Amino acid sequence: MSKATRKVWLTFEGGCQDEPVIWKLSQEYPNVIFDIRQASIGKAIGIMALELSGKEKQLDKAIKFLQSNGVKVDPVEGGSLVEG
Amino acid sequence: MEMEPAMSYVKSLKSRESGQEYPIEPRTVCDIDFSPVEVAYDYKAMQGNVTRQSIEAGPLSLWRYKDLLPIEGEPKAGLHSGWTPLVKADKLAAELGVKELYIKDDSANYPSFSYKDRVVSVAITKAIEFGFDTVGCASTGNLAHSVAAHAAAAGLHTFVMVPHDLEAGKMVGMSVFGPKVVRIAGNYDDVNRLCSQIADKYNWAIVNVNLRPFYTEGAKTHGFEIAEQLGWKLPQHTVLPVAGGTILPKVNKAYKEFIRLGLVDDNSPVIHGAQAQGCNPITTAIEEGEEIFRPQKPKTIAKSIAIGNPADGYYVIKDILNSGGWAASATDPEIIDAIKLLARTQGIFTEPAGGTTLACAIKLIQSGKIPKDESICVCITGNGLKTLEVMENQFQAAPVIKAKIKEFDEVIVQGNNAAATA
Repeated sequence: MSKATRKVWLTFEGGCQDEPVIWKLSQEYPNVIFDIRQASIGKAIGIMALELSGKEKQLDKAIKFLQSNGVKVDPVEGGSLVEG
Repeated sequence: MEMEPAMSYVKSLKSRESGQEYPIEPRTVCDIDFSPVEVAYDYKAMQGNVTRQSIEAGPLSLWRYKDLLPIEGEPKAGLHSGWTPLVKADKLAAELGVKELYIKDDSANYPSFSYKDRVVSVAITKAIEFGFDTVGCASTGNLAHSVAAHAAAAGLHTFVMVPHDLEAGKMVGMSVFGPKVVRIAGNYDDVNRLCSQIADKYNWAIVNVNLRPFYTEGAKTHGFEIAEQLGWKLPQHTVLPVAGGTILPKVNKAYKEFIRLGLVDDNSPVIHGAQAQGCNPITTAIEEGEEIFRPQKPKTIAKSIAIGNPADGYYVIKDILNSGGWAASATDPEIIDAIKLLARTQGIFTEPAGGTTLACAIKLIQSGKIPKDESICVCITGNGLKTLEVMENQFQAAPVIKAKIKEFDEVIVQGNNAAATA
């Protein structure tokens, strides 16, 4: 199984911004390396830029774990609508 | 008109957050912080060389601002784009009870009747400079129309990717130029993601994806023109539509560049945003005091600005608030009313995006966010003839009469419809 990297934007809202979701991720998937590139948190919503690296399958599971904890996950490129 | 070759003042691509610099290349985001990258210029070198006179000596197109655009050689597209009218809208001003009102009218832009001709002129020129032979875009209509037209003129292969349910009129408007139209079963988000993958896999220039830093710079020319056409000064208030978030930060950047170069006085220009009620993530964030917006699923007649997750939305909020501005939203009926008002008072027919901008400007005036005695510019970005279906059923069919003067007198002059016999 090859190593891979995923660049993602996480959006925390609807309560999950008050939960230590990233810590939970590190406990659940210790072999998925995460690198926080930037983050911003508001009153009701927070965003975080994350680079995840590890085995493909583990990355898929880690992203599903984040989603199941209420975090919206978008790829960095092509994840945001551009003007048309 | 032949333009003299000039040196480029472009320095690099720069991350908006960390300031990390990159060479001039097709690139969307910074590898370090994942923020959008932006073109950086050598403003020091421009001092004394980029002047009112040097600009006025240029062609009557957006390329008169070439020194402030990210191209290296001569323009390869859009030689007649830009330089649209700035209309002193006295009749509309009287209706709204304001002192000084202008309409920057990109419904008259060449060749595709929307502000998109500005960004596409720069993007296509850049695509040719980079050596691409195929260009494309993800579009809600106006962009596809413009890309198809400019690419046809430049002799490039063109793919335009659109949501499958695009209005029939817009489909015809882009197809006539001969691009490969790709209709995608999904919403705009799906179209955009696919475009990102296509750009990587096929090495094509997708103007609003991998050429985005260059493409967006073209929007500055809308702001440059406002300033120059106003007699080298800035309006106190500028109201702009917000879709993906290109034009508002770039008009703001244009004003700041002109101030920095000493071409206009710094009057602390205020920038306001306009969105449709059915797609207003930016207005909602500003009204709720949030710096981060929540993406929305669009539901509005203003389809050309129906982007629920704006790529540069964060910077729109920042620029509006830093300038002391605000944002408003308009309902579909308010958008229609504003389209009619602009047509009735100034003879300008805009699409729902323009109706949204005017309707929001009216709300900002009524709420006191825009004082009635200060100069205001409302930016109209598209032409109403491209979205005629929106105005269908808005007007009663005129009665048909026989070609007889008696019937004209009775039915038309005296208003007796029952007398119409044809």
